[in-house]
Amino acid sequence: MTYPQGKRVAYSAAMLLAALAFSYIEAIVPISLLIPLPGIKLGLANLAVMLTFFTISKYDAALVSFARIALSALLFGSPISFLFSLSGGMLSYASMFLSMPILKRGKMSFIGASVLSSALHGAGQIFAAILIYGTGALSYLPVILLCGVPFGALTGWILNILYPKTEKIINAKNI
Amino acid sequence: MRTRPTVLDLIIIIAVVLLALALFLLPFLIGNEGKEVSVTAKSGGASVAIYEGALTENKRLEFENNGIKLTVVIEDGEVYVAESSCDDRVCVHSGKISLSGQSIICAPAGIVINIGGGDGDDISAG
Repeated sequence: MTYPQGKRVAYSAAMLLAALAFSYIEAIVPISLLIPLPGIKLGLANLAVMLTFFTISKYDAALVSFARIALSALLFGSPISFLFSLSGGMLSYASMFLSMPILKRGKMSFIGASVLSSALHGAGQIFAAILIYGTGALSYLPVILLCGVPFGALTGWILNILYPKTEKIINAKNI
Repeated sequence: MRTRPTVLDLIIIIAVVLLALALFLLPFLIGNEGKEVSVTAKSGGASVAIYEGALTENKRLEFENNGIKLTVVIEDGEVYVAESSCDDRVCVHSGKISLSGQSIICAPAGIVINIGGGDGDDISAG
């Protein structure tokens, strides 16, 4: 389904705002207060990116993801956090292409898609960490993969609820 | 799009958890890469260090002890005994070693080749 450009821009902007708001919440109330491990995040911003990918378009999702990463790094991040997010975000985005046909055929729900996305995001972060800190960072991969499972499942569960509602809003004729 | 959980969701969750566990256990299974090679020779009851060097340095070493000649090769992070003038040649058949804590023992010559200096452990120190 393709939408008129005006509609796409309006929805993508709304999604970007939601993603940025989630990033901000996670920056001021980090999950690392509960789980004292570096680089562990709930990944709520991914909700908006995945909703964009599966309801609006793949192209808009890439823009939302990149803009969210760049803006959050500028507003409350650092060059290092930008590199980590970018590397994680790119692999996470790639995972959605893998999930798309499986979701469409009804073989899995957003929980599986989100766990995959989260695992690849973690792998991307470790890749950035290896570039910065050396191969020793590889030993952190199991930790980041394991933490990604409950958080990925949580965002997937939320997506299972949000997807039909978002789809309905976007396809409404009078908006 | 599917919005109710399926078996595949569960399989993906289990697969990622298993992958994480496997990656966590992997270093313990494969062991630490060694960094140093030390060779000791036993003569008259006491062990004497006859060589110490980095594992990364490619070398061909000749030792002689108890009247037995031994050729030890350090190559691409691995150590092996290429030739020995002893009868049983157990050391030659020991193959190549590269992990911290591994050793090749050449009993007739009284020569022990140790790898040490891997991260954390130092089993070979004794």
